Amino acid sequence: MCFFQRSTEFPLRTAGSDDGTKMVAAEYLRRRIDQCVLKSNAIVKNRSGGWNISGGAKRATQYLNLSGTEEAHWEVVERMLFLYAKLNPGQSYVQGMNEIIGPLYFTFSTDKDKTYREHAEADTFFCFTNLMAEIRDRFIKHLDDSSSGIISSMNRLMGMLKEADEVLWKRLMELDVKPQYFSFRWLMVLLSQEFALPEVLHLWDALFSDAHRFDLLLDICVAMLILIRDQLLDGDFAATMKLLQNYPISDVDQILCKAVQLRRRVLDNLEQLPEHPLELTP
Amino acid sequence: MAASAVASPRVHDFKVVLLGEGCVGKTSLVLRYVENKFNEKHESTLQASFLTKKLTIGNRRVNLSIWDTAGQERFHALGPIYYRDSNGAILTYDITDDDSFQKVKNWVKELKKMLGTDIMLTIIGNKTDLEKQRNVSVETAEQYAESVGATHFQTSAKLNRGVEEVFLDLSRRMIEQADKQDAEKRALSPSSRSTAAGNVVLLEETPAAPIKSGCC
Repeated sequence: MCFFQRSTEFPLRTAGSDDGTKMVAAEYLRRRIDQCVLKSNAIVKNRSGGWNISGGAKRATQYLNLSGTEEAHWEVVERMLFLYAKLNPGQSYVQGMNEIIGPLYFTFSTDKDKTYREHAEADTFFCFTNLMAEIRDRFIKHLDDSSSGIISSMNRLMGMLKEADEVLWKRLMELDVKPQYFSFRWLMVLLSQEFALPEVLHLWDALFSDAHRFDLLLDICVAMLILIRDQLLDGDFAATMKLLQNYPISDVDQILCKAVQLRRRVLDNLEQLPEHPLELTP
Repeated sequence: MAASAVASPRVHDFKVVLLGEGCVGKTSLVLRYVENKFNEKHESTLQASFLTKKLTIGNRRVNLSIWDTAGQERFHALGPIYYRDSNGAILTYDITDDDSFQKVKNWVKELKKMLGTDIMLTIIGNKTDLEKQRNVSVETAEQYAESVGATHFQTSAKLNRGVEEVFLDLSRRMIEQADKQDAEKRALSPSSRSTAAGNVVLLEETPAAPIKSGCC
């Protein structure tokens, strides 16, 4: 997707000036940021819908800055990620944040309403910061084992799979297909690497509108596994891994339906129990 | 079980793991090798990607299971689940980036500590297409590789230079290592010799057990 390499309608400008003689702020900032970035050894690279900051790496030549007053979308995103990393020094930049911010920025900066497009950067940054507040523990290595960290999420996922489809769960165990091999990525970047962007937006719509949104994420992951259970039960380790890492279904609606169905079944089971089952567990 | 063991070539299932700093080109190397593709664009790896490749060396068939891991520090803790039980490791650095070479040294230390000498090591300096910006000298890298018993290669995934050789050489060494281990096993247990009666020993060929075979 070349969207992010195209020029934005609204390059950053110095506040209060509209005469063309002033240097566009983007150009000025670009110079500053390039220098900062080199010093702090964190650089962004763009790709089709994603970027990557990494220690010591050099900016790929194919992502040259656009000339003069123009600014590419990826530069806007780079600036936001840079700022986020600077504002959160304990966390800094972790690969995968690009996958979180990308769909948000895309949504705002392609809105039909010009006002939205104009303020896309600020709005995206606001939303990104808020979303990260909910999911950032998954990006922090030393929180892996905490209750909000990625390992416990993966364990919950496998527990839910066992409840919903024990045969499939057992098969994955037999093959020694560890949840880290596939669901680490699923959970960390909210499935944004598994589907094409339009599907991701659709999926996130459902995710964000759910009051227990990140529980729904787990339901969705279980649904994804169950929907391909026949193939999974059939394959050896290599076939299973390839399926899980290149998820074959692109119809997000089908997955969401299954996820909601799974959720209902769990809720119904809970209701059938006489008392509050959650409080009964030791 | 088939009695035609004499005719069937020995099949090896090897697990290979790629390790190294982020952005050195691990994914590009594997994609070049497995699919002969190069993507100018960059997609950072999260967790690790799994790929397979079949090759034949002499009369040996080799199935490679390749784990292409994420390089960034955040993913370091995931390393062990990928390199455990590996027959070979490809440690990659970027010739323009000395830090990435230091990172290779750290990986070598970790692998030696965790896996001893069972794992065959290959060190790769990638991005030789950027020779002008080189920051890690060939001599330094070769000396270091030799000192830790690793082979050293220089590659360009972009220009498809040296990539095939890396996997061929590593596969050859993994076969040698497997032969050595088999010989040791036979020497240790005379009973297995009597049952095999000098015939080809089909240690890894039983097709009924693909699950527990060498891979993962």
